[in-house]
Amino acid sequence: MNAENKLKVAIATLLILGMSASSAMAAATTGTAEASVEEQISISISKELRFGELLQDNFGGTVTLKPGPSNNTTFSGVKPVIGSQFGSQSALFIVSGDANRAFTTTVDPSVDLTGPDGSAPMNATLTNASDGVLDAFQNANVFIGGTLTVGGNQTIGAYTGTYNVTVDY
Amino acid sequence: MNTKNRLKVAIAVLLMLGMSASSAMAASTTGKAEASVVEQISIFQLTELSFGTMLQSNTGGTISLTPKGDATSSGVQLVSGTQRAVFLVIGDFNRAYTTTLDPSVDLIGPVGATPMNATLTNDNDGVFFQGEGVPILGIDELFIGGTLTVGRNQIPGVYSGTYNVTVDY
Repeated sequence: MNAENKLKVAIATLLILGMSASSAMAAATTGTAEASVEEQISISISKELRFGELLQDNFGGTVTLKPGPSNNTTFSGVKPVIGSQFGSQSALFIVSGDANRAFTTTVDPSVDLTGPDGSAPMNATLTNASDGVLDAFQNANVFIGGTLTVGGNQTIGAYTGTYNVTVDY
Repeated sequence: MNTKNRLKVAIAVLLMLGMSASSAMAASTTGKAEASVVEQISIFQLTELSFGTMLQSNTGGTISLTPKGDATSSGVQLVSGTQRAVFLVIGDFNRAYTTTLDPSVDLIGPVGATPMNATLTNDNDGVFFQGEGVPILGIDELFIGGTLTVGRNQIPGVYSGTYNVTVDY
């Protein structure tokens, strides 16, 4: 082979070597890509909190409702209307989300119930009894009760207030 | 930007996303707290029950007085007027109430006299009329009559007794 052809062959060889050089140095393996999708937590009202119908009197008193399915209520000073169709009941909220997952429950510490024009509001402190963990069917209950303070000669009428409940993983 | 710095930024973004993810995942709702204050029921006597004045009778007999005020006598002669009892009942206009009355009363007379017994009846329907004013009160009238048994040769004198009447929601 003459010199010019040897040079061509050399250049061609170098070029080929150059193109395959990166393949000879490469190393390959596999990695795993992961993602998980979880159920958002959600909460909805099932029963509203009711302290019931209370008889007006000169001294007032308190109504204490223990949160839970049995609507356990004690009256101090103030008396309920015995034959009432609107008795006391705990609020019940239904929580949905990831099965078997724990969650926290936060409730306003108290709520003011406002009544007819000119009446003084009645304050209720709030307590909650939360399952704290979703069951295998992705559900949990949160019961809300509390203690309502009724004033002496509290103005006759209907009283209502709004409070916040938050659940979170 | 070099690879190392690109990686740092990516990690920082992921961390930030991860930290805010739980707040974005919380769920909140509101509940209503309800109570109502109701007028106590009360009862006042306006007119006493009277079987009137009658002549002593050697057969004895009865005096009947309906809650509407109609009087009939048998075996005994009435000299002057009978009077049904009238009570005023005040309470929550929107509510029905029940009445409980002693079934009878003994009227005690002079020393040595045999008591005379009177059965008692009422016919109010437990429904209020709408009163005036704010709050709107309920008013009703409760009438009581009965049947007095007068003995043979009942000793002359004034006879009286006390009976109970209760109204409730």
